[in-house]
Amino acid sequence: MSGRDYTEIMKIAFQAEGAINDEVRRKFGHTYQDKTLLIREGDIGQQIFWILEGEVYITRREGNKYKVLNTVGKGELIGEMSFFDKSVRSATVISKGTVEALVFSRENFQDIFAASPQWTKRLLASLSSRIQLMIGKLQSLR
Amino acid sequence: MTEQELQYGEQLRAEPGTFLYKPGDAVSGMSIYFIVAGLVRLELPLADPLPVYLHPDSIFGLVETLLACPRLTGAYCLESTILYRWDREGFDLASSVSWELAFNTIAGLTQYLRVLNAEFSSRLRPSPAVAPKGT
Repeated sequence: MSGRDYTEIMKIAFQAEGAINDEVRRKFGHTYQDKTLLIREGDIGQQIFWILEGEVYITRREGNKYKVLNTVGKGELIGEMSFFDKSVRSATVISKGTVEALVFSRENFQDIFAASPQWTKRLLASLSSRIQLMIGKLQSLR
Repeated sequence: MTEQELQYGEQLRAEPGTFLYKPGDAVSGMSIYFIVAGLVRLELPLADPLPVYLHPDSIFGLVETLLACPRLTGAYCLESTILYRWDREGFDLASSVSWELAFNTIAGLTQYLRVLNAEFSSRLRPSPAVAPKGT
């Protein structure tokens, strides 16, 4: 599963609920100034970031420099792969200007669930479809 | 597992060598499993087998239940195993009142999908050629 596929799944899961209200924003909202490092490549941090305002660079380190792979903004989720399966961060994420984001950790999954328990069902259904697809792809190999 | 979660399903004991289900089996009734104790092997029907071993606290059997399709894999008890199982409605109720169950289920599916994805990539990748010295 590519990072993009997973992001689409998470988007469906979260956004279909319109789950973000003032209480959630107060509790989990963070503001990052320009050029702040949100995620570092190689780390095993387990936070998921939902960009509310602004943009971030998705970069990969090459020597002493960071090569920009992509720029993502409002409504995008980042860091989602590590959130559930403890995978190693595959990119470095740096704020491009001021960024507002909701930041969830594994420890406060309970709060996300409380904000919108229904998104769990959508996420499970989306993951199940992806698993069925991958099993089909494996079976098609000879 | 808490009593709150358990009240929506039933407990099951399986001897070593028991197939809980096989690929292609129809899905009905108590079709979603949670391992309380023991060891289960998921078997994908591939020419080159891909066993996936499931330990206590794992949940399985959910994918086909949610998609309403025949079993995509087999599930085989390697050891004496104690399981808990739900039907779709019971699981929905249990996961709607328990964030731990919801989290563990999502994490389990994510990890399973990661295994499948990595295995697919690995099987697509050509094996590096090895030549003895002096050839």
